[in-house]
Amino acid sequence: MNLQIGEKSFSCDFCGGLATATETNMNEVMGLICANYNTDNLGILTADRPPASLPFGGRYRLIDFVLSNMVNAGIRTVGIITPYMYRSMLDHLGAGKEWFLDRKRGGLFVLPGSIYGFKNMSTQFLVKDMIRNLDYLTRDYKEYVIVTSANQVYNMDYRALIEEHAKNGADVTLAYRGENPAHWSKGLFLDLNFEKRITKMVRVRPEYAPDETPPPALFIDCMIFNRQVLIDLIGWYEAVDHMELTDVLLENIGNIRMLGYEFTGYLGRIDSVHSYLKCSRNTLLPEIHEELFFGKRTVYTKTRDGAPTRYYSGSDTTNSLIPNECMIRGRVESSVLFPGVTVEKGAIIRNSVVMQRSVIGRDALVENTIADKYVTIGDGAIIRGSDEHPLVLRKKSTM
Amino acid sequence: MSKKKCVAMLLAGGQGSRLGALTHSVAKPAVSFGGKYRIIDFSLNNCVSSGIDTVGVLTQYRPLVLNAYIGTGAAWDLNEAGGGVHILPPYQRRDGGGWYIGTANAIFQNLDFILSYDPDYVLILSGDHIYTMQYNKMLDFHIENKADVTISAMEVPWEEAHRFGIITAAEDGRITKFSEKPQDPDSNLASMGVYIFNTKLLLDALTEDDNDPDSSKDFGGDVLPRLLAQGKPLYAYRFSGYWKDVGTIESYYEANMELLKEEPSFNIFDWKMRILSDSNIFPPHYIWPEAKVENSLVCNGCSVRGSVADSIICPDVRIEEDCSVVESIILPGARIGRNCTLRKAIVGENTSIGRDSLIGAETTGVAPMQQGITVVAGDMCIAEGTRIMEGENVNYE
Repeated sequence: MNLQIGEKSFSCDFCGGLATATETNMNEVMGLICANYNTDNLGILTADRPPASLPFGGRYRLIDFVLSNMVNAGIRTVGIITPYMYRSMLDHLGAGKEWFLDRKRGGLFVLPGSIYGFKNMSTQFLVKDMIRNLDYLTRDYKEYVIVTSANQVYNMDYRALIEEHAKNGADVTLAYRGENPAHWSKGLFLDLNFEKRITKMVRVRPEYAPDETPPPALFIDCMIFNRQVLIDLIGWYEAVDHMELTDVLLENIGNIRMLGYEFTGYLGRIDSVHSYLKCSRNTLLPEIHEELFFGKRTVYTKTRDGAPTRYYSGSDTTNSLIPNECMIRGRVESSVLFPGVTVEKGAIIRNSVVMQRSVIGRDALVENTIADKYVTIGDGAIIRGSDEHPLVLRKKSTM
Repeated sequence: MSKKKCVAMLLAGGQGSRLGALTHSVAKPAVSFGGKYRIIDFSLNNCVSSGIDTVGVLTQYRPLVLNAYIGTGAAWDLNEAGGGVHILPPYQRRDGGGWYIGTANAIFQNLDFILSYDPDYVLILSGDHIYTMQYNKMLDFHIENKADVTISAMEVPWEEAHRFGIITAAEDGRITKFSEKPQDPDSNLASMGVYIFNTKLLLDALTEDDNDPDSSKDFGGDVLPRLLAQGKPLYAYRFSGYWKDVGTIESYYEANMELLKEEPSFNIFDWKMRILSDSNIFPPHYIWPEAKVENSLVCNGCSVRGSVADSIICPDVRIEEDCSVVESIILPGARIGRNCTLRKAIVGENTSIGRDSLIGAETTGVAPMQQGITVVAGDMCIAEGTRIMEGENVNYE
């Protein structure tokens, strides 16, 4: 095995000793983003796009977060299993230039997903998709593969996860969030023993007494495999028509060394219109936007080369996240705007998300609303959703 | 190498000493402008939008930031196969070598670069003006008139004419007289420092100029007057539109502030005309609940907690609570600590201003320098509670 861990086994001519003997060479890791997933819960926001390319945080799309986590860990080989309707995603990713993935060695690999990953199936990690793209996994000789979904918002140091996985000699390590809100009732919950080995996995949030036991460990759709283990595992299930990778893990819980790794940072799960607006508002909390966006690890995204944002006399903006290229004459309050949004005089945007190039007319009021791209809101219009049931305006619609 | 119709040579080696503290550690073309741009962006964009895909950038003074900024040229789609952007510093030859002495000498030292592309025409630009221009139209004019040299020119106010190279031209554009910074101008048609030469003529003219021991090796001062005296067909191409030389603190400040007008004369906000630049990927800026922003430009990556009015806030700037920033330009990466007051100030790149400082907010009583604009150089650390009077320059000694 050409494992580069634990003992002095690789020499780096370039960093002249900066790499310590125990450090994992990030050249030994490749990424696999499973973006072939959709859900009805996001309504018209995902009518024409997969959740992976849902705009988020003022200038990003959801896939940017995991993709940036990977490149920030030094990973330069990333495969993306494409969802149905992948136009918006490929338009965004291009050749991977913004993520340093337009390169000779490694780079961005677009892996066609099957039509199985459809809404009602709601699979995140379809084994069939990996089998169909097995060449991606077998042609490379990297030691490890990080496998993630593409619809979560978090800024995580994947290096630490990789180090931990390598150090413990695991076959697979699953990242989990310990503290997690009670409304995250769906998902995969893990039971870990004292050495963080996973002993049980359940799909329903287990009952627990907050004062006596720690909260259940929620799997955050991010795992690292020894590449050969992953190839073997999916090979065993090749004949099965529809199988989810986490089910494969569940079935093999005794056969492979499966560990947990706790992520303690902010995690935004976007699986409904409500959680989309909630996560968007979370990015306005100083500690969360500092962690997500202003920290050491940049979130990379496609650049548009728009002009700086113009605030006119009499405009009034407070507690908002605003990218370049906006024209603001009215009031923006506790909202997230996207590039090219125009807010006319007297207009008020409150607790809302307004996507790219939408126009809010004079004296209009927009509250608890998610306006998709190119929405036009006429002068004086009143558009109001509620906190629990935000209003969603379809792309290119006129109100 | 494939033959090119036209190759651009961008003179970016000048110090821009009249920009004082702003060009302490960067060359003038690399100075930030209009929030997210650098001055050189405008010329590079003009080249690309005019279909010129081969640009030599001649650097000399403090090239680090400029070189890093230009990189492969990918930001302007100038990472072309068989062309693209080339950085051309002075270099050593078998028979010695030396610094670029004047504009003409800089081009002369890079004739082999030009000849390697075998272009019919050479476009010579200075990398320190703010404008959008279609060089291809000027080239059409040049070809139509069978000119040897075409100089782009525009009318300037008479009272300012003495600051420019002044052209006297006939109705059809043929130049009859060229005088560099004349005391008593007889025309208000000013050269913009944009020239198109026929390659063969450029070769001969520069070689002749190099052999002239009395020449200061300058296009405006030596080469063009000599060609005119020799009776060569030199034409003036009349440009109308926005063009600004931001060579002084005052003109730099004024050109920035013009962007805040309701109808700016130089419109960077038109999406179709967008100006490409090499920007880091910063998050959207965050306006805190206690912040107040009016009549200003704010770029990505900023965090604004204080109050900002009539100002330009470049990318990655932090303005802490209880600050008051008025009529100021805060360049990229600067940090303004709590409870500072800035008035009509330019704060250099990556400078941090300690809390409770007053920058340009107080007057000494005597008439201030540079129209009361206060400048703090880049990469400085201003201590807490510092008071800098209006019109002062804070620079390294």
